[in-house]
Amino acid sequence: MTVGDRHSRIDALGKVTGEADFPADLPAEGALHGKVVFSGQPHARMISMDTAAALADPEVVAVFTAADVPVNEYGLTMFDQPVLVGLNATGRAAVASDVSRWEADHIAFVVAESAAAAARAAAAIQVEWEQLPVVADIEAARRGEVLVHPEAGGSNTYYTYRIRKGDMETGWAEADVIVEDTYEVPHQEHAYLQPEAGVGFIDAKGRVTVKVAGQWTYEDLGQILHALDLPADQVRVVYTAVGGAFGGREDMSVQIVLALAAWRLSQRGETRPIRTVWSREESVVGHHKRHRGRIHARWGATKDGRITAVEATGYLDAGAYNYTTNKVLGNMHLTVAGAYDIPNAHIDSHAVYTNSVPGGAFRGFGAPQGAFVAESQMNKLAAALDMDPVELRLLNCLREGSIGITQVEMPAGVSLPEVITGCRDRSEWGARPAHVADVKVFESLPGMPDRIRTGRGFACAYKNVGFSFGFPERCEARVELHGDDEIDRVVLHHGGADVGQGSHTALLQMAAEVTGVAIERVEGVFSDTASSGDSGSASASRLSWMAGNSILGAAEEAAKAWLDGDRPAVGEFRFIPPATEMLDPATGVGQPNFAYGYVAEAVDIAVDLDTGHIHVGSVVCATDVGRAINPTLIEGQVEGAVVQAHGYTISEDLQVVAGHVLNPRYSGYLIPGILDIPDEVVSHILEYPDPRGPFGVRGMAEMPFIPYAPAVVAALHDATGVWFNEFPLTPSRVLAGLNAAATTGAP
Amino acid sequence: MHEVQRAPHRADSYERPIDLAEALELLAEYGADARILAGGTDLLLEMQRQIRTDFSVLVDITGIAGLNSITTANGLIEIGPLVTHNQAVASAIITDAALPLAQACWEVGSPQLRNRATIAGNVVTASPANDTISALWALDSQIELTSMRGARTVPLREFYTGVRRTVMEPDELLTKISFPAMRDDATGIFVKLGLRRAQAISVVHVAVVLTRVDDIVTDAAIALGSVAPTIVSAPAAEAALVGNRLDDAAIAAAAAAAVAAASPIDDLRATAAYRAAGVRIAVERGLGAIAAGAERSQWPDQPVLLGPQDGLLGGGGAIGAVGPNDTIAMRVNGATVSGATRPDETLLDWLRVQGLTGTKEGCAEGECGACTVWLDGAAVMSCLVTAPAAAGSNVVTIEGLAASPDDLHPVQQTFIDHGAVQCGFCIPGILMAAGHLLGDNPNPTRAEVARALSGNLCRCTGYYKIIDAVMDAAGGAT
Repeated sequence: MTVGDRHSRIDALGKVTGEADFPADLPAEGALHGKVVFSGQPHARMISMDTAAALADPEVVAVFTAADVPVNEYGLTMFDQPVLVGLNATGRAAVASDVSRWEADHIAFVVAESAAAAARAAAAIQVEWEQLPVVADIEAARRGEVLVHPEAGGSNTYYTYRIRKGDMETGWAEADVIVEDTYEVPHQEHAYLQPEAGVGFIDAKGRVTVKVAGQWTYEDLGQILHALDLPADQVRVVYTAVGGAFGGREDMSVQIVLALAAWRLSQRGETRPIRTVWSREESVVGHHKRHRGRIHARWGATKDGRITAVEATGYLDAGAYNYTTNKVLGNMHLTVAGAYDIPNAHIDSHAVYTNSVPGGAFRGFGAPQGAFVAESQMNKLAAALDMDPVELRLLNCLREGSIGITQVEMPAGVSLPEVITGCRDRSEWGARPAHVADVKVFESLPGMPDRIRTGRGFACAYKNVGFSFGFPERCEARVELHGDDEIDRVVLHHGGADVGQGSHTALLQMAAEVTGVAIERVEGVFSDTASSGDSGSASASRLSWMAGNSILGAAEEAAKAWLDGDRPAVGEFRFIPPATEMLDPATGVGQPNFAYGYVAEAVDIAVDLDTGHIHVGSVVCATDVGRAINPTLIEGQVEGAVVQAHGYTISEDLQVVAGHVLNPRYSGYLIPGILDIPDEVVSHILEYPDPRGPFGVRGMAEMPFIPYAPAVVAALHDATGVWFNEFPLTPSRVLAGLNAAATTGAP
Repeated sequence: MHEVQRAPHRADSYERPIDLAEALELLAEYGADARILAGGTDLLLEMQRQIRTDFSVLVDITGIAGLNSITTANGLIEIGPLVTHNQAVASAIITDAALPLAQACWEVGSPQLRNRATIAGNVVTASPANDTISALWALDSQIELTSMRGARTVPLREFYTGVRRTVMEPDELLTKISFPAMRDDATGIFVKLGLRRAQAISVVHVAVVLTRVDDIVTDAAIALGSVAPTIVSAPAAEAALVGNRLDDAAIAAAAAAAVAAASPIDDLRATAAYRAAGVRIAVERGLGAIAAGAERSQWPDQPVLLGPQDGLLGGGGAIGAVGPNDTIAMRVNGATVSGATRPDETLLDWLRVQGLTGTKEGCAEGECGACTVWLDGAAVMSCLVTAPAAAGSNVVTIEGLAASPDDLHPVQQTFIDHGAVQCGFCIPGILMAAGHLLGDNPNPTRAEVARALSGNLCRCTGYYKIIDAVMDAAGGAT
């Protein structure tokens, strides 16, 4: 069996020797250097732009502006962002080109003989701006005095989902207890180690080609084709090694401008490649974030623990452009009532435009925000009812055949009860105190056990696998069987991106399994639009699920061709999963997804009552992966997701004020270092097959992230008696919360 | 253009004097147009961020022999201007008779930074968050400043005139830091409150030195950092201790009184209110540790250095001046490599231009460790070392970690075996730190492995499999 093996990653050798090329490592001999120029203006109208001084520099080759972009707009789900903000645009875009709505809007792409010259020229571009009032946050957006996108209608609140289920009057009437609170969820920065970079050039077949790090080659391709108005066969997108993504590379950064420069320069007979590399600060300022938001929730339950009603109103700060906000919002909408059987629900979820950094895809994709609310409410209900929070969840959780919050039956394979009980048992919930090593707030001081309190917290979650809401989901694969009498060699062509999660290794394992060939004789040709079909994105925990199904289909086709005597025998397959639906705009009725993943976590913490420092001890993550294609890779996803969630919960405090990111560096935006992580992460991998997943696979890479924050907050409550409705739980915030509770006499 | 896109401040020339006299001549010649370069960990960032832009000449003093000594005589400890943080951590003189300074040095940055950053540089940068200043303050240090005009000695407590401002004249070089060795009747401690366990900028820190005779405090020095425009004393707290036993009442009184010395502000790291509370707790717990005789209890037996015990800087040899487009050479992975450079080019950039792209840039500020290389036997952040300063040195990069492509370093193989690699961008730097640790200490504990990797960020793995892999390479249990 190849599936289930702890096979070493196929790309590991190159990564431990330094041989693996990331975009900034591509051979630079003879390359020109490009510099994306950010506007620096959260909201301003361009009055004039003078590039003469930049162009006068003898080392400057070109300065590309809005006038050079045939269709000056892009965006993953809405074309609401200019490729380059500027004047004299072609007029073929719906969005006004002359307004900067975000401090990192691009206004020019400078190409020069050296990076220093490009930087010099960027500084020499003279721009005159008319300042417009900055819509700084959700409150300002809702006031609506200034519109960020006047073309989108008369309101900054531009996207809304609703759920109207059951009868709220009945729900409240049946409730013995009600818990109600307003929650603030923070931004999170992806902070992948590799800043954005890439190379643009004309390939041997004359195609405009960009080599970059991304998550979905065909989406990058589509955005380039749209903006440059080129036919599909004239553009090619290739991925190098990708230095982390987590959703942060789903939207465009350097792709379109590199293609623009390669294309426009080739028209002038200049065929040298163009490379561009962003700094860390440019990366943090210049790409989207996990959405910040504010959600009000009111839940009722009977005294024996049955949830009777859920009311919620949530806002996400979309920032200046939609990116994938409408989809992220939908996912928060589906998760804000938790993975529970809710008879009566009234939920409104809104996205608002502001002049802040765009929100977009980030591991969990709206579910962390939704789950923080739902699981905090659930834990407060348990406290109010004096019930065990695990028992309360088991009483209410979705199970096989349950009707979900959108009033349709859950896709088959609901394993939430098993996941919850698995986590309960593995963590010895209710049977032992918190496991936490010595809390080390001060390096030079021994611990102060008298001033430490410990606690345990529990949370669970669900999240969709694959694209939702009626998106035409698909995944293509090509399998070639080489040999004469027997198959000597298998070649898999696949577009799926390996962003670090190890997907290429997992895909080869599946290809080896289905063709019956040893994995050493299976070769992968990946992530090049010239040689692989459209796989869809490495996101939404979908790749193993979708790509596995596409490989199964392609292998079956290839096997038929083999029997027909074809050599090589080639199978091509486009897998299409069950259709999903957009929710009814008035009631939220519909089937938004074809598969889900389920997860539960128990977290042990200690807190220093005087300094507010939290130390996390044992984390037990029970996650149903359906079938572990490669358990080592699965554990890597669990451990990495938990630690990333740990940063989100405790230390990562992105400050965005009046449209400006104030801490765009690792020294100011604190992701966990090796001394900051939980004492242990126990990956409790469950394998309840997804009936439609290849080999039973479920998507899993996002799930362990989702319940962590509410579990930590519950543990902090267990330790101190104080609830926190905001995070990250920085020492300042924790100490202020503890002091406020002490002052008001709360427990 | 966005503010973060502004080009760094550039130096036009780089000078590497071979002795003190030449250095002083250069400073006299260039005056305010020159800036001293030693470890470079602060100065390169100040240039990158245009914090210091009023100079064009870098005077690298690391080629001068004899400036990296730690000596003690007649009850006085003297520290040369090239003494690094790790050198102090490894020095028995400092750990025995200036424990707060050793503790402060240990809590700065990461192993790679401590291998380059000098204590003198920390003093001159003059940030109120700089950890060693408070320790030196509590130890009642004197600063020797030397120029062609002669030498003068300034008490550290009179050295600062504001945030990042000092009494130093442009032609002066800090040539010595001296302070009395702590006597047998003295105890001290440095206590730091940060937002993480390594690579942390102080939210609050406190250095304390007490003298007790027959259990009565006869002298007390308490210095506070990160709570005012400069490091400050806490005289009321000191007064609350002198004449008393170090009991709970005196400690509580001193902790409360220390808050009055602070004038903290809100910033990105913490609120002013939090800092005030932090001062009280740090003083209270620090004094409590002294009272309990526990001030040394957390000091590691074998501090993880990832570098030589006697320091890295000093006596590196003369390469003369470097101007734009001059060529330098160094040994890289056993072969001589030469290439053009400019005065302030980083070693990271220079290596990558030579085609050695295994060394990565993740932050360009010494925070992520992806650029870790070995420079003359010490793990360093190559983004914070100038290429000219590394000229003539021996450098090992990830491309040189394996003896050959078929003969991986053990830790390379265990990283493959344990699935410790995900996206892989951080991995070259992590392997260079881990490989150095295993060379220093073939049998590290998990805690020592974590300490060795505390200057390296990974966003994918959560670090657990990385620690497992290093332990396995060491032959230890995982």
